[in-house]
Amino acid sequence: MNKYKRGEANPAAIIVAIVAIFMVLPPLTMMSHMFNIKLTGTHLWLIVIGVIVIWIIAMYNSLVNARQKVKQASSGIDVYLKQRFDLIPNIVETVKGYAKHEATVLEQITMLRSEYDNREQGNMKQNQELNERFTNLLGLVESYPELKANESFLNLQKLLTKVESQLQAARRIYNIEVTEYNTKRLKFPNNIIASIFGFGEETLFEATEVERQVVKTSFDN
Amino acid sequence: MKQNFGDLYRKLYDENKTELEELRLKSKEETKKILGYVLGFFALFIILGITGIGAFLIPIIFIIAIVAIIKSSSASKIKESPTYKYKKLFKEKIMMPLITNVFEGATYNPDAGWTPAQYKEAGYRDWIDRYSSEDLIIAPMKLKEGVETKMEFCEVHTERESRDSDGDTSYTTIFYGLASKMKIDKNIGTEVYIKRNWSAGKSKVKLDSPEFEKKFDVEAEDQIMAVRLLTADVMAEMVDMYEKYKYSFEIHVIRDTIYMRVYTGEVFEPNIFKDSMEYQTLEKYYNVIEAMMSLSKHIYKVIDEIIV
Repeated sequence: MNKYKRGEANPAAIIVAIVAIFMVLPPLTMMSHMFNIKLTGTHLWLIVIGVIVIWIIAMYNSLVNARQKVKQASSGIDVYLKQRFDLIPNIVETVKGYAKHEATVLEQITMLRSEYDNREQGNMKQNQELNERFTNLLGLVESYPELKANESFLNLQKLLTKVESQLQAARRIYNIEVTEYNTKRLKFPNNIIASIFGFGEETLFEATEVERQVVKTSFDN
Repeated sequence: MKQNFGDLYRKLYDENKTELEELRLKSKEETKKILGYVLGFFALFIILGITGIGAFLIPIIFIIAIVAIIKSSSASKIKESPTYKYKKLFKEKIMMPLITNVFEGATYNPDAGWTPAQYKEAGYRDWIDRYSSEDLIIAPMKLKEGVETKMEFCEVHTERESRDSDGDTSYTTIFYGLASKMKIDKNIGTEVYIKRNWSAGKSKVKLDSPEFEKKFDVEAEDQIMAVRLLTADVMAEMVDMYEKYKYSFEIHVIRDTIYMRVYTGEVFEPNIFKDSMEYQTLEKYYNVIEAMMSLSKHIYKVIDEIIV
């Protein structure tokens, strides 16, 4: 990650800002005398406190924005996961005719797919089992060459390739936003605001053991 | 068959060095003579102007100078000049073989280029008040089995006019270098702009390569497509190209065409005052067009995989 991105506060800049505030105070006092404005020590402290409060609000909002971007990226993954899962009924139908002794796997996937529809999608963890079983099924397809020559299956595979590619991109975007958010919440003085207002750490997306195994299987084949 | 640059350079050097060097020296003399005449005329104007002696001669000398310029600028006179012959020989005997070694079957026309409209197809937001283009290369390209296309390169120079408080006009270069375009058989259905750092607008796309992010900014309405296109390999190749040649460059993928422009400055021109066949300079020209082709092909390969 870039050390400091555009628009992001950094410790050196914050120290400079604080020093600048204290350098502005004497001329401000002088000006108040020149223009007959009665600016007392209390007023000046209120100005300083006001600036600090504005600064705290800015940091809080920046953390909120970063967290929202993580949520947005997470929902982006869900969109493509849904598209992937929407292909399941068609794939199961096509596979049924060729892979009769995978009936158990197909039944489990169909059941999980119904549960997914009933709970209105849910989050990544809830869909993990369905995702893993589906990934397993795709790995099993490698063992059925007649299936791979089937035109319907080929068309479905093309759609699946497209969705997989979009899903991969969505996951990368999610990880970028999570890394940025986590880095922001750990940096000083954001970490103070983060701990006061409860900005917790977000988890990066990682491939499951099943997904890593399927990749290995594909490579072995 | 493709030769490596070193062997090709030696072959071209042995065949053409003597003739080129002869023309270069004549061209150098001619350039010095022209500079001498120009400085002489200026000096005469200044002396006559300051002293006032023979001030009536100033208009006559001015007319003589204009007539001399017009006569020497005629097409036939230009074509007889050693400078013209030197540049022509350099482009035909040196640049042409180098280019055809990279692109088999390529055509190279030193005097042709793109029109401003053709250049602007790429979506470059240059404000153009003055435009020139030359050294057009059209190279046939095999993208994959059964898919062929053409890749075009040319040198482009765009400038913006500005006026100072005295009303004097000056021109600032916006872009000077090599531009290319390659139409492909797949359409990404959107536009992705990979620009120099700090150039992106509101639709800036964040990526997961810190090295890439330091050098480039990506702008795209479809963030997912931009991320799909910019795989780790593509980003690594772009960073390598930047670090190797130290030229900044931009890539625009607009639907079914890949555009690129590299801020090389003037290219494919022989030096009059230095060695005409300087190894490093020629190697740089050669490597840059090869790198542009390689990167365009790599991007095509990724597009071919993601657009089924």
